Amino acid sequence: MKVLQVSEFIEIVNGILRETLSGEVFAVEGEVSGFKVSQGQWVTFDLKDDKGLLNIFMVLRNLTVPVEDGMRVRVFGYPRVYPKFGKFSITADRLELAGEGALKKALAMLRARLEQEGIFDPARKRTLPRFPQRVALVASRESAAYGDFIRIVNERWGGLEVDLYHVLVQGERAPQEIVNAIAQAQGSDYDVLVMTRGGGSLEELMAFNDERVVRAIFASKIPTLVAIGHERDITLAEEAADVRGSTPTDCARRLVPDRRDVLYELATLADGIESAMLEELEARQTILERAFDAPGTWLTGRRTELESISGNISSGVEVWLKDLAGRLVNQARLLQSLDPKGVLKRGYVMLKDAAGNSVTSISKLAVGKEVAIVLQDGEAGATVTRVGSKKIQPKLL
Amino acid sequence: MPPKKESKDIDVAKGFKDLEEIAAWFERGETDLDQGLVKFERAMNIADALKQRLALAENKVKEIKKKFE
Repeated sequence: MKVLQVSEFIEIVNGILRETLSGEVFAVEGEVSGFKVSQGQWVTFDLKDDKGLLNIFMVLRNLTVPVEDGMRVRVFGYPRVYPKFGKFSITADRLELAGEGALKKALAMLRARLEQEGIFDPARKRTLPRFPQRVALVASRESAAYGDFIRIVNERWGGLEVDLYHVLVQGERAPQEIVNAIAQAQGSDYDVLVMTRGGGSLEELMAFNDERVVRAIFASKIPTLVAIGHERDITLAEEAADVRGSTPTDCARRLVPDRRDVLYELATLADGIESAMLEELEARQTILERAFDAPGTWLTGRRTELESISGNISSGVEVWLKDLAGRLVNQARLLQSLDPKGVLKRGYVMLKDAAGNSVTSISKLAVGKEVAIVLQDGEAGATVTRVGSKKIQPKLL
Repeated sequence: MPPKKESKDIDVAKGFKDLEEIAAWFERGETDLDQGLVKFERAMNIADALKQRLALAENKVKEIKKKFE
């Protein structure tokens, strides 16, 4: 019999356990209970089933999925007795969610947390360029999704430069490969980063719900277009992307326009431009014509005006002359009535002295003075024989 | 009166203004016959000059139009 010290014994046991029960050979599946993170780096919980219980120890860094009590998980690692306390536990390198329920639950938790952070905020989403030229495609070379995507893109649009970043799209290594591919693509001058894969079970699509992948998509400087699985599958990566396609085919449709649509649009646009141009030209033509005719119109106006004024003056002169003549006749009549000859005609005479001045008073006369008697048809000489101041009595007729 | 000379240089706007003034003079019933006759003759001269000026302008317009048609 061999006697061993406690620590020696534990060392031997640990050596045997580690050699025979390493994570490559088996995994332990059970329900999580008493999940706890201490000092921000150590994870401890119990893994149990109906009949048994194991302590699990894990470095937080190795935990890539959200875990909470009640979840079914698979733990990969090695069993070990902790020498200081003699406590048996499994040190887990890796933990996977087991069963649809756990996956869904973990997904819901992660989704809630990322949403809180604003990773899915619609306000942060960018629009894709309408005519992308260089595209980074993160997909599996062997997948049907890749073939479908390329085929539809080529059907719709030509001349697109697509660089494939080949990745595994499911399995344990997929998330890291995808994250690396996204990071690598950032170094080039792409218009869009596309990530796609075809349909699968929730478990198969889990790489696109991986927090690292979701964050890489969110952080991409290149606008992102992600289409994973079928219409009904919505992964977190899709939700974080700027644009989501429901399927790889839909993804291609969202990436490039259909050349027939664009050609039709161009034709319509050309027609529109042409008719707008013609309309504009016609309007200018009208302005020109009007300008062209303006001098003639103006001249015609002036000619009419001239005729009108000339007519006014001609008729004005006639009226004016007639008026003048009329006034003349009236004047003449008035003068006629004042003509002394008219009086002489009626039998009156006029006396003039030797100087020819008319004599209108007896005081200018003296006996023996020579005077001239003026009648209507001539004059006669006379000598004054008598001077008297007898008044002439007017005869009543 | 040398209307031919006037027709080339006449200021159209001033010509129309003068004619209007002369027309107004007659309408006022002024009595100075000599002045009236002078004004009338002047009016006829201006009108004739304007007529010729307009005719020239019309021809010029037609000529220019023809050049650009």
